[in-house]
Amino acid sequence: MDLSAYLTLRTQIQLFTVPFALSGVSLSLALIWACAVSVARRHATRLAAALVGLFIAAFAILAFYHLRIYQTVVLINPSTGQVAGRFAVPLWIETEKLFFETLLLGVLALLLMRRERPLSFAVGALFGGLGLATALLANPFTSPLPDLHRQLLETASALSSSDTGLQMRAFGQALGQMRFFYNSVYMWIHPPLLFASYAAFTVSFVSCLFMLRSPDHGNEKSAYDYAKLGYLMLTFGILIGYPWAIAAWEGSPWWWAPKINMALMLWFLYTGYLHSRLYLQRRGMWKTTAILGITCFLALVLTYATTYAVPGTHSVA
Amino acid sequence: MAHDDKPATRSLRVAQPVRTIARDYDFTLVIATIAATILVGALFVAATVYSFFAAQTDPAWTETYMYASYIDAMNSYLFPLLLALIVMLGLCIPRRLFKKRVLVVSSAALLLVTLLLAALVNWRAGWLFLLATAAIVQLVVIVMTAIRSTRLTYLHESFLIRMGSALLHLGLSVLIAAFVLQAGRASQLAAFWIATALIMAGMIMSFYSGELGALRRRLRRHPAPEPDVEED
Repeated sequence: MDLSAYLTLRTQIQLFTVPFALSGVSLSLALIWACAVSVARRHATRLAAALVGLFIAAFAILAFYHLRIYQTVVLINPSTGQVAGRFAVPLWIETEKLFFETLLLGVLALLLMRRERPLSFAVGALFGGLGLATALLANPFTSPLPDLHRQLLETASALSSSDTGLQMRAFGQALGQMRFFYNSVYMWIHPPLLFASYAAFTVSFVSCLFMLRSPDHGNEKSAYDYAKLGYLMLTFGILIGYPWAIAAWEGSPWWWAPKINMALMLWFLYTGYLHSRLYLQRRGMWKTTAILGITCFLALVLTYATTYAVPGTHSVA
Repeated sequence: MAHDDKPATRSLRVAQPVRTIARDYDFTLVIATIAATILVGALFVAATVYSFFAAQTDPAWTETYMYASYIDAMNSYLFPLLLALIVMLGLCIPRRLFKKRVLVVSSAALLLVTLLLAALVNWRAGWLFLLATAAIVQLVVIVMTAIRSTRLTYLHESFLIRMGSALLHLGLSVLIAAFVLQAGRASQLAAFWIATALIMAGMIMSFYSGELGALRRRLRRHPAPEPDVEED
């Protein structure tokens, strides 16, 4: 397993750390300012477009990095000497999660900003906030795919040893990770659907906040439209995770695991929200629905944080 | 509603309470469904909190007997709530077919038989009876919706919303059956995919009935050109 080309490329990719951080921070701050200050709002759409453009350019660079990993890192079976596979790594794992989530929210914010209304600027400011957090705290170029990197180094080291048992163990482990995690077709469907649903739920959340401020049906419609879009993707995303779990975690205890609990909790809460909306005209239901929508989003943040805070299958805590 | 009563005629005064009772029934069902979903959500949060503290005490607790007892305990808390949700679905969906009193009595009987079967035979038999009955009734609703039967009553007039709602609720019954009844069996995955297809089709039809209807109308107005037929 020759990693020289991969290591050179990784060093080159890390050169984008500072340019991405600087441009990300300045564009995010400018966007937040443009959305918050009424006289500057005429610049908000252009700034949001520029920030989305930056994220798309960074995404293209990361996609090239992933493509080169696929082309250069080859796993060879030590007992036969034949190629066992290549790592097809998706673009929304490890340090790229928040980056990807922010990009999706940015696209939605840009679509909303075609119509100038308070909701659009609030979502734009939130996009700016997440852009700032990504550039400062979750820059994907600082240490690209650290878990994969560590695993590749460990596997290469084990495969180059003279201990056949160690070689086979490392090979088996890397092959399992490759088949059931990185290269799994579910990995290419399940996480992006969930991230896209989170972006849609964020817009719904902001709309629910506006619902508390005034009984404007435009905000309620936005809250519902984005909640149902998010719910559709969340439902399919959760469902598609089930056959994957059966295949990847066979024999391991995963049912009632923390992240799965929280994802199901989120689904049940949004089910409650969508039902409560049926009787908006009833006394007290407008406020109840808005509060339920806000609670759902707080549950979403908790679900996201569970991955990092509570140990279990599906977790990095 | 009370404020509007003053100028009403006698006939309106008779008609309004009937409408209110029907709406109250729907509203009560919706509130009960929301309460059940929030309770299920709270149960999942409680499970996560328990997992967190268990992992703090023993990081390898999922490999001990504690994890098996945790799963059993959580299932025992979840199943009554799922049962309540299915009964509410039973009260919700066939209301399109039956009168309210018939529904309430038949649902109570259904619940009683389920609990008796669970107590006398085992919980699997109870679930099997309940889910099979729910699925059959929902299947009848789907067929009647598909043939546009006038015996069904819906909140919405749109055919796509009606069909979507019926498919979605049938899919949920099949999904719960896949998890509760067939754990570890080969047919579980087949049932799961059928449920997934029903749920997703139902959701798309319910959520985007307007857009799908507009698309259908546009296609009817501008039918695709017929393919050229080559002359021999």
